[in-house]
Amino acid sequence: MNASGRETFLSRKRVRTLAIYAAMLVLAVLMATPFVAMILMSVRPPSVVTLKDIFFSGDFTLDNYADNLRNDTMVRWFLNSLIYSVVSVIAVLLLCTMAGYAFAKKRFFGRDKMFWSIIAMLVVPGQVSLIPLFILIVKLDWANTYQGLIVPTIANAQGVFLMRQYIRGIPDDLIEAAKLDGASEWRVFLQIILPLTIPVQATLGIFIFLWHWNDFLWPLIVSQSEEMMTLTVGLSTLQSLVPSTNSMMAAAAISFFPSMIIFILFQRFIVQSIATSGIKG
Amino acid sequence: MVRRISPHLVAYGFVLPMFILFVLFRIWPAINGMLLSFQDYRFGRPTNWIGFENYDRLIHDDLFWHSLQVTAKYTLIYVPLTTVFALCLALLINRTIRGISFFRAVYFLPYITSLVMVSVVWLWVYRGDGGLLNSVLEAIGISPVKWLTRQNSVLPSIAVMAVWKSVGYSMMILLAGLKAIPPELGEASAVDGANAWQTFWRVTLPSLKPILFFVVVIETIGSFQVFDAMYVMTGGGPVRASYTLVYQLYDESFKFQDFGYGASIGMVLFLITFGVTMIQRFMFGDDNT
Amino acid sequence: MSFSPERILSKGMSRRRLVAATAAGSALPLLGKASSVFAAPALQDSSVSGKVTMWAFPLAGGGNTTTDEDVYKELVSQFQAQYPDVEVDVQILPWKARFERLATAASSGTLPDVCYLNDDYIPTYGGEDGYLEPVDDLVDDDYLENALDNMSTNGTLYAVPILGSVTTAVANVKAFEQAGVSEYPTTWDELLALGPAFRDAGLFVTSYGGAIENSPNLSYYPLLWQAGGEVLTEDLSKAAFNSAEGLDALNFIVNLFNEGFVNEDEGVINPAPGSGVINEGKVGVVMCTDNGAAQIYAETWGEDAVKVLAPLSRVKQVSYGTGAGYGIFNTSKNIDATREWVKFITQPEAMQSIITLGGYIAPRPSLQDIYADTPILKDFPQYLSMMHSGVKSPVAPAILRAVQPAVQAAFLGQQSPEDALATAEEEVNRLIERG
Repeated sequence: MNASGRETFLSRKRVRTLAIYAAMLVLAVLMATPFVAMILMSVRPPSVVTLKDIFFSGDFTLDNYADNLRNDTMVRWFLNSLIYSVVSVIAVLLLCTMAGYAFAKKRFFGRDKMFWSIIAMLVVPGQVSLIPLFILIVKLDWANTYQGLIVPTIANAQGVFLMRQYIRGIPDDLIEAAKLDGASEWRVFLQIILPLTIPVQATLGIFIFLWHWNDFLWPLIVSQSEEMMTLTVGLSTLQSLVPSTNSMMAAAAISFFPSMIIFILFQRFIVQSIATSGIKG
Repeated sequence: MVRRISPHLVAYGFVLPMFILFVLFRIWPAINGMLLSFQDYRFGRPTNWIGFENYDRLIHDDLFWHSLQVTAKYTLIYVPLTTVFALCLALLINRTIRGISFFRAVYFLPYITSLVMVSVVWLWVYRGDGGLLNSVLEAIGISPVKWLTRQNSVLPSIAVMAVWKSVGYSMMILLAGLKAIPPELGEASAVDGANAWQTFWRVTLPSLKPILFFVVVIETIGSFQVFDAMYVMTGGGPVRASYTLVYQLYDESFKFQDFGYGASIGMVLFLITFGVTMIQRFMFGDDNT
Repeated sequence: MSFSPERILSKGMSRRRLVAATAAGSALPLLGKASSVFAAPALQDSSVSGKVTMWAFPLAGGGNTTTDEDVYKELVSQFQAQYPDVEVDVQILPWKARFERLATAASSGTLPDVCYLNDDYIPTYGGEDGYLEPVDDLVDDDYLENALDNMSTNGTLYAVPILGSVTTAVANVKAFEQAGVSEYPTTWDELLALGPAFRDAGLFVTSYGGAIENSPNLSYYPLLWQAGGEVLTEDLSKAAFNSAEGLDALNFIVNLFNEGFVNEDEGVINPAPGSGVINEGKVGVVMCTDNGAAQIYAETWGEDAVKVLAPLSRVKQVSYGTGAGYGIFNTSKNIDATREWVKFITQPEAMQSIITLGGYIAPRPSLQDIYADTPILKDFPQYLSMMHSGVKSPVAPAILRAVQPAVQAAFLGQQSPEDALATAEEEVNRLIERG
């Protein structure tokens, strides 16, 4: 592109590419080190504590994992987190898509007021509602129950917003055509809207899952007994159940695996939808 | 034969499940929370209205000003750090060379961890003797640093951990923004003889401004609500150097059962969030998304 | 008896509680005999029915709830043999945040029927307008007078005593050998004099757990009491620790840190479970160790490395001791059934099976010798008379919040000890006033 000879141009570009790779690699190493450390420590016996040993010792053991998995309480916590996350994801996706569809494509009395009152909640930090919400849960006799844990978290403003934005982009003709063909409203929803929103649902789903899986304050407050605690809460009370730091790392790793699996499976959706549906993530 | 149901009813059928949940579990408690701040609602006592007494007490509460200051300090460290870092990462991975999705995954990975678990690992990273950082420092001859046990270093230390954990999210958003910049602009700039640096400042950055600002706002709002990390790692110490606003809210409400007072702190948080959001709307018009 | 959870748990616990297991193991078969003791009435009692929910906290070393559960399961099935219409649900909750949990339950109306309560909870939950049922009629003659006093307010008993704990200083014999020291300290000055020897050997003569979330009952208060001071005035209306004695105690702590006689990092943040200098055998004397913790040390250091010392003395020879009992909440819907349950589990045999989980001391004269043959544990009861109980004020937890940061500020050098105490005193007085 410029007047210099081909060779020089290529090597300059190559150097530049190499420099970029190097930078990315260094950053990747930095970002990954805590993970690597965590995994390494989780397979070390309790006696291995110094940095050198952690990285270079020859001792390996799966005892830490076995101990943790044998621990019924930990398994229970894991299941609770799973239920909390999965049920929430399904409920949120369904209800948000339904509501988003209504807001995007339908005309009805009070539509805009309803929509903006939902959006307005984006500005209110969760801590404002925390106490009254808890008191409400107690009054419903839902304290320390799954429904008390899950139901309040289904109301998700970002989800509604995202869905509405996305569904707006679906051509009206598609819907009209289906109706002309005699499809009922519900069928239109199931066979047109739902399939077309899969990318954004996948993205939303991942974030909802992650947010629930890693949630701390709400489960902390709702759970009154050890059996109802989620993994995040249970692990924070764990001060003596594990015999060593390495075992604690194994517990950390265990709690991390589901998130990682979900992420690896659905990674491409995130990039796709953030790119297409706009900025709000 | 398709039964003709009133379109209105259909619409309500779709929207009400979510809306009712919203009213019950978001809107009503939020209003209630605000009202609670005007009441005296404490452990084992009857409730009564006390007007602005909680706020009066708040204004005269040294601990409140302290926790507010700690939170502000933390925000001032965290937000620029995470924004700049996210931007750098986004710029780096905004290309289609081989293996880019691997790097993207590694940078995003910490975001999917839970803060509580991350704290376990980072407590070890920051440990005074034998921790990751200090062991490395010692190996190269520098004396160990008291990361979490000195008031000057505790907030930056926690901030770095927080940046590590959540930079992936902002990075993705900025990446989307970068991808939305028409490539012709960059090419035109190159034709004009500008190098990469100049292109960045004159073309990239200005185009990115709205999104960048969006990221700053989101991160600021989130940063003001920081609590989990402090609760798990430092207990608000050393000597309250990491005692944030939400930590005080938690203590007042759940430790000391003074719900009215806790609610007033919640209101302050709301006003700050609202203020920051309003600034964004003012500077960039209506939500253009 | 606060099982000194924060401190102990921070030092890391191990699951295998050899000593306690031996004692508990020997008690369990007794339970088999228990039903014959309760022979009158041997017939099943159907007059009481309903569900009883109990909150307990892990007493077994290691916070491992399994052993606790085993004991309670056995007790429940024994109880149900006698009271078939009563369903008992024992929930073992973690120690962490238990004050918040209980208080939240109280204000949201979700209290259990009965709960394990430390003596410093009694002022808060007991009393005429309180949440607890008077239980004077559930105790027999076989109770120590001061155990009953501990669980009472204004002459009324609000919880049936179940156990007592004694804390004292415990020495690590191996650490002493490493430091080349053969004399064990009995006073503060003697402890300080040993400091350099430990420091030179790369060890610490003692430790101080000053993390914000720790209770001052196990850190600052015992030193304050040893110096002859008190936390609050006798009528509990004002702070009393900003005194010459309080300053003496605080200066002692500051000195320990300045001289490097304690591990500073762990004075600010509790070490991760399973780690820390105490666990690693680098500490000479661990003050404020209770029976449960001593057993943990027996495991991590080795049984012969544990030497139980008398509490250190300054002006007074004293240490922190508490009692705990089972309190019945008056919000319970099944008070009758709950009362029978509490009466049952505080009978001597049942009591023994519970307290031996952690090596605790019984509040019954008849059970004072259960550890006579158990190493380490047998050395604790003798110090019972030197125990000072915690602050008996409803605002005790609020006071905690002011004291811990103040002590930290002093030993981290951010404030002079005088200023730190003054600041804390102001805050505490304000908190008391607010009520």
